[in-house]
Amino acid sequence: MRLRLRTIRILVANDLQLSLRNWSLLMLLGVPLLVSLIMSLIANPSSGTPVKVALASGASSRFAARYEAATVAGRRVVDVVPTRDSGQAMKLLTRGEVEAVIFLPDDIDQALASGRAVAVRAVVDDRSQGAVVALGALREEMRSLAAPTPPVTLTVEPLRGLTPAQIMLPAWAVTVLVSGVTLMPGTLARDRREKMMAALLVAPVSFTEFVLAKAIFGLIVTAGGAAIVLLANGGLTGAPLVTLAFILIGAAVFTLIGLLISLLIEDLQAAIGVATMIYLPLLYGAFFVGTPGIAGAIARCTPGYYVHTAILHSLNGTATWRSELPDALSLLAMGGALLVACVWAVRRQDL
Amino acid sequence: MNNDLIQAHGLVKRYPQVVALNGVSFSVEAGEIFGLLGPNGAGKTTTIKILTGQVRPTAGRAVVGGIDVVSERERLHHAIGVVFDIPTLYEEHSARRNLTLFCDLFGEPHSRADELLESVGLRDVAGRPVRKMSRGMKQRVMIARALIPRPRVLFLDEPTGALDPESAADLKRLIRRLADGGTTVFLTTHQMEVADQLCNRVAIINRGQIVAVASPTALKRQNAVPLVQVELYDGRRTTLPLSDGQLGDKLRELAQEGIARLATIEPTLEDVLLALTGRGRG
Repeated sequence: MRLRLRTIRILVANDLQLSLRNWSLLMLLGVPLLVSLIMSLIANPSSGTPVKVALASGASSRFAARYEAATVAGRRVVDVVPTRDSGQAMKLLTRGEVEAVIFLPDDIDQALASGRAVAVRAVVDDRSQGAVVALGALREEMRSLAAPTPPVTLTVEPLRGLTPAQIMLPAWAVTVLVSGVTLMPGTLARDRREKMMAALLVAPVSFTEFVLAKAIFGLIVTAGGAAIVLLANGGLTGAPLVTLAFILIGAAVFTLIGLLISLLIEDLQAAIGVATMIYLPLLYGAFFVGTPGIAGAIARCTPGYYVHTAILHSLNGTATWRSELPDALSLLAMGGALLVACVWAVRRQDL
Repeated sequence: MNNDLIQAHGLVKRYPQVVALNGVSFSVEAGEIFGLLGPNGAGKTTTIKILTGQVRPTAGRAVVGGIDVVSERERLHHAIGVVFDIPTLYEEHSARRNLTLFCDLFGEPHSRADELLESVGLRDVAGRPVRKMSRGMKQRVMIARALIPRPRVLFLDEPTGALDPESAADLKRLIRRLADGGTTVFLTTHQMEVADQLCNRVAIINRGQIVAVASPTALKRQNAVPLVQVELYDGRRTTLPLSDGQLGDKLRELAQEGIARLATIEPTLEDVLLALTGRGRG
């Protein structure tokens, strides 16, 4: 089987040109981008909003009460979010629900009163302006209370959490990638029904070249769309190459699912129907990451889960090539199985 | 020397539920306008699909322009042009863009698109989106597209199917002009008058088998008889076969009742189709 790259390039360029005039496709990609941008605007706290802080220990101390009541120009500076333990507090930080976790010694009041040395530990997202405010207020309180009897030390540990605007970003990116499932029937099955495919196949275009061009088109549109959503929301941070690699593999997996549906179901309406039916379950993995029990276990069975997790890790600074390798291999295994199925389906239909 | 540009030998196409073609053989000479006629489901579309390399025959062999349609399929594309029965164009693209896309695929310069749009009379609307064109104009764009590789054989599937009479007449003139220019035309149609006016020869296919191949005139002469239609003064009408041995006696009897009008009716290809297939047109 000889593949002409020039032919594939011409067909992909044509599909991309047509997609610029395809309103349903533009909506499919544009809505997640628009919604994510609106959410970013809404989620960004104004300068007067108290910074959310979790006290991992020492929350019942007098110092904690003073810290929570601290004001600047008559406005409260911090809003202490109640937590059960340090584990929950750290979870809130990684999910972007608080901007700093502060560990106060349980005996801080007695230590300050007796002039003993006090060590306070704070874990913050080092990019967060709110964290700077929270730490500034903490330092101020410590200085005022410990004035006659130093030493009080503050250890700050950076941890890249998510800003409120970034929490939903991985899910929006996966939403764009999953659109590849419905995009393929929309283009391949439509061309088949309207005999456009037949018109191309009586020109120097083989069925394999035609299908490959559609797959590359789907890959470009979905991967490009997801990358734009992340870029527009400042989400290509942390380990951007890891993020882009997962976006590319995820786009390939979802495009192949759509392609397989289009190849196996020749009727346009039936193909779109099936693609729409499985669109929502495929989104499930992205929106139920971290859910305990059976819901979380089901989420882990979907490709979206792995893409979502990798982007999340990249955003909070914990992603490395090594740490994400098992998830990448899981995705690649899904993609490989789908590729084999698509090749079989193409061979079944090609002359 | 064999002047056949299309040769079909014992073509068979079996699908799981049906035998679409069952030993179809015919040949088409270079420069001919050849029509394949038959009722719905007779095998017209399957035949055209095999000859254009879209479907592989179960058995038999077809050669178009000296190219085997199965083993040399990749070479076939440059020898044929195909016009489908429905508009197969990118509706959002302009007529010109639809053509330049195929120019790119065939490795032809874009000037070929302009040249062809000129030849089919669409130069002035070359930039108009296809979705804003009439069915007749779309048909012309498809013919222009089919001519891009300078094909030796042009296949037309129901070329005048959904056209108004004026557009159909324009298209027939265009097809005739192409044939005069040396292009062999192979068409399927259910409009018998189109086949009658355009085709040098026609083949009638029924239930996957060719039942007759000849010129329209010969087919009509062989398979249907001219009629005499008599209209009496009281409004009654009678039709008699011209070949009836007692025609003279019968006309004399009718003349006594008073003949208002007397006319001969030439047989049509529709009559031939009905006589040979037992079914109406497809």
